[in-house]
Amino acid sequence: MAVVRCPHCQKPNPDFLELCQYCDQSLREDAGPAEPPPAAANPAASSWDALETPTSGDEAQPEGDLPGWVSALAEDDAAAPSEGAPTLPDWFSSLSTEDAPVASPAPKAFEADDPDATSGQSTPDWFADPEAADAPVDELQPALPDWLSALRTDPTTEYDAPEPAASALPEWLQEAGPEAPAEAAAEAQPAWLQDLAEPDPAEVAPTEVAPTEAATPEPAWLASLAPLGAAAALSDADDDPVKPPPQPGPADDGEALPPAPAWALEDEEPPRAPIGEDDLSQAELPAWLAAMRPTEIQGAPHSGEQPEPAEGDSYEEVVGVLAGMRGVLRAEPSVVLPGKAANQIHTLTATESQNKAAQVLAALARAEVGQAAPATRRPFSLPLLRWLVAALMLLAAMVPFWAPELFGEPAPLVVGSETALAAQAIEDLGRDGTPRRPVLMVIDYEPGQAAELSPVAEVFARHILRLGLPVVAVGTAPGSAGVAEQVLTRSAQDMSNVSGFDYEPYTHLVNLGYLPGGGVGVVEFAVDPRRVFLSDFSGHGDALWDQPALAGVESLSDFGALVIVSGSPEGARAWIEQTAFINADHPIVIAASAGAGPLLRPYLASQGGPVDGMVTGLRAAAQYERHAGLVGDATERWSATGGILLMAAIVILIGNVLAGLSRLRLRR
Amino acid sequence: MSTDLIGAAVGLALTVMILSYVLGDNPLFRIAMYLFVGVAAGYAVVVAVQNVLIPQLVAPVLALGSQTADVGALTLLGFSWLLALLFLLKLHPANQIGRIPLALLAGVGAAVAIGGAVTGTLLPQTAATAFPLQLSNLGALATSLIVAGGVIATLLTFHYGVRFSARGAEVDPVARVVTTAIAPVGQVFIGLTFGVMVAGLIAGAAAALAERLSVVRSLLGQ
Repeated sequence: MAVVRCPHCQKPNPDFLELCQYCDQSLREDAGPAEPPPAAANPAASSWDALETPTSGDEAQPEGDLPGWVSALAEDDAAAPSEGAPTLPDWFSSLSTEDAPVASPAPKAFEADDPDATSGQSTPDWFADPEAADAPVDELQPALPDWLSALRTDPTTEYDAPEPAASALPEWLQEAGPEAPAEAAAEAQPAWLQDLAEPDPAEVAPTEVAPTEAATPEPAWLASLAPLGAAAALSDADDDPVKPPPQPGPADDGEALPPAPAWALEDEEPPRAPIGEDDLSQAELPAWLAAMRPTEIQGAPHSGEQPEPAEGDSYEEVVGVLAGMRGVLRAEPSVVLPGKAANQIHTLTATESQNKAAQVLAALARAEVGQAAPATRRPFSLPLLRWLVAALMLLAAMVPFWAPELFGEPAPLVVGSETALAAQAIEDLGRDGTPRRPVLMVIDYEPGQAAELSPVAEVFARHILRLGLPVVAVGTAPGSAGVAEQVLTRSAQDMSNVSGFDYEPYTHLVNLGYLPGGGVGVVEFAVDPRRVFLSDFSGHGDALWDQPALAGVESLSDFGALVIVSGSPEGARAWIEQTAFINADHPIVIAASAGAGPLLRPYLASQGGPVDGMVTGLRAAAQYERHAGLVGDATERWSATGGILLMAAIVILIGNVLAGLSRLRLRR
Repeated sequence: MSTDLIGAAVGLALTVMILSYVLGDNPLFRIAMYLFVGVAAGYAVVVAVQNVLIPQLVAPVLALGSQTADVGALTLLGFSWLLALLFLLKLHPANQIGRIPLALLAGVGAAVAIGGAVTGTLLPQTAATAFPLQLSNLGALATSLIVAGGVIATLLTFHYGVRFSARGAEVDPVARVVTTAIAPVGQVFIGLTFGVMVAGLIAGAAAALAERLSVVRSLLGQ
C-alpha cells in the first residue's frame, strides 16, 4: 500500500485517503504532477503488482497507471518537458534535458514534494557541476568492480553469456531461459524501460535480466521477482514518493564517489543514503525450511536474492481504526470461532422400564418447575391479620381473669383416669403400713416450660408434703435445678399457709441439684446416689445423706415413689429405661407437658407397664388439684389457658374454611 | 420495694418486650431474646461449676489432708482428674489425646442408651402391643384393634421399596396392597400423632401466656 505524505503536515497517509488523517487537509490539492496516481483497476494492488506492469511488455499500458516519476522519465525521454519544466529549477532543467546516462532518473515526485530539492539551494556542488554531469560514464569505470565493468561495457554480453547465467540459475530456470532469449525480452520492453536499464547497470544483476516475460508457463511469483533491480527502485519510489530514488551504480561504490558535498561536511549527521541491495541481502533459507515450502516454490533458488511476491489479499477491514485498509490481519478468523459437533458420538440404549422411570422423573421435574412460584417482592403491608389473631388471643386470655363469672365453675369438671391413677398412687404412700420413705421428684424441664409444668410439679409436691413425706428433688438439666428449688420452696410455703405447719429443709425438703451425664448419670444415681451427690444444690455437703429426709437412702429403690416431671419424652424415657433393671417396688408417676404426653402414654397404657399414673399438661394438673383438694395455680390458670386454646381452635377452623373456599373458587 | 416486686416488674417488662413481636421483629424483642439466652448460659455455667466441678473434683482434693480416703475413692478421683485434663487438651483442635475422654463418653453413653432402650422400651412396648383381645368388653376390643392396626399400618408406611416380579413388569401383589391400601392408613396415624404433638406445643404456649397474664394481674392488683 502506497503512502502519501500530506503537503501540509508532511505526515504519511494511505494513498486511498482524500484528507489527511492528522490535519484533515486535502491530500490532492497540492499534489504535483509527479504524485503517483491511484491504481484504477485494483486499488488494492500491491507494489509488486505495479512492478509487473512495465515488465509485462504491454505497450498499450496507459501512462496513467505508471508511477509518476516513471511517467516523467518517459516524458523526458520523449523530449517533452513542457509540464515539468516550469516547476524545476534551472540547474535541474538543464540536467533533465540532457541525455546523460549517469544522471539520476530524477523522479519528479521527489523533487516536487521536497521543498529543499526544488529550491536548489541545497544542491551540492558536485551535483550542480556541469562538468560532472557531462562526464562520460567511462570516467567512472575504474570505480566499478570487474564483473560490473564487464557488464557495463557491453550490456548485450550479460544477456548472451550463457555460462555465468547457467551456473547461477537452477535447473528449472535454466530450462526456461533458452526458450526466451534476452533479445526478445528487450524488444518486449518499452523503450523507456530499455533506456532506464541501459545506463543503470549497477542495479541490474546478471540473473535479473532473465527473459521471464517471454516464458509463459512461469509462476507468478517468479515473474514478479524477475526485474529485481528496477523493481526495487520502483517499489521504493512507489511506496514512498518522498524517499530519494536509488543512486546509480557509482554511488554505491565508495571509490567512485565524488567529493563530499559541502552540506555533508557541515552537518554532523549526513543524510542517509538510500539503502541498496547490498545492504538488504536476503538470507538463505535452511534446507529443511525450503523442503517445507509448497511444490511450486520448492524449486526456487535458496539464494534469497529474489524476494517472494506479496500475497494478494483483498480483505478489507470494515470496523475499527483500520477500517478501509486492506491486507490487514483478521481480528477473528472464522476457524477459531466456537462450534458444535454435528456428529452424534453415541446413542444410549435403555430398556422399557428405564424409559418409564425416565418419564416419571421428567414428569416430576416438570411438576417442580410448574410449582415454583416466581420470586416477587411483595409490597409493604401492615400485618393486620396477625394483629387480629393476637388481639383475639389476648381477649380470650384476659376475660376469665377479669370476668370469671362469665364462665361459671372453672373447668375441668371431670378428672381423667390417668390423672386419677397418678393421684391414687401418691395417696397410697400415706396409707397405714406403708413405709415412710422420701419421694424422689425428677425435674426435667427448663425454665421456659415452667408455666406449664411447674403447677404440675407443685401439686405433686404439696400432695406429698401433705402426706408428711419428704420430697427430694433432682434436676437433669442445669436450668432445672433452679426450677426444682423454686418448686419446693413455693410448695412448702403454700402448704404452710394452708396447714400452718412449718416445713423444714433437709427434713421435709431436699434439693440435690443438677445430675449430669444423661442416661449414664441416671444409672449411677440409681445405683449409688450418695456417690453422685456429695452436696446439695445450695452447697451443703456436710452429712448430707445423714439428714432426716435422706436417712436410709442407699439406692433408688429406697425412695417411696418416683415422680418424673418432664417436658420432653426423651428425659422421661431415660428415667424409665435406665431404672427398669432395679425392679423397685415403688410407683412411678409421670407428669409431662401436653406435647410430650402422647409419646409417653404407651408406658402407662401397656398392661403391666412401669408407669402407674400420668398427668399431662395444665389441664390434667387442674384435674389433679380438684381430685386431691389442693386448688392452686393450675386451676387458676386453666380458665385463661382454656380460653386461649378455644380461641385458637376457632381461628384454625375459620382459617381452614376460608382456605377451602378460596381453593374451590380457584378450581372453578 | 421487695425483691419479689422487683422481679415481677422486670418480668412484666420482659413480657411486654417479647409480646412486641406481634408488631414485627424489633430491637425490644431482640434484646429480650439475647438477655434470655445470655442469662441461661451463664446460669448453666454457674450451676455446673457449683454443683458438679467443685463437689466432684475440687472438694475431694482439698479434703485429702483432713480425712482418710479409701483406695477406691482416690482411684476414682485420680481417674476423673486425668480425664478432665485430657479433655482440656481439646482446646487445641489438632490434639488427638483429647479424643480419649470423648470416646469414653460416647461409647459408654451409647451402650447405656441401647441397653436401656431394649430392656425398657422395645421389648415392653412390643409386648404391650400384642395384648390379648377382650371380646367381652367392646371398648377394650376396639382399643386393641385400633392399636394393632395402627402399629402395623404405621410400620408398613415406611416400606418404600416396591418389589417387581420375575418378569420385571408386574408389581408384586403384596407390594401393591401395601402401597395402595395399608400405607395411606399408616399415614393417617402418623398425621394424627404429629397433630397431637403440635396441639401440645400450642397448649404449652397458651399456658405460658396465661401465666404471664396472671403475673401481670397480680402485679397490678398489688
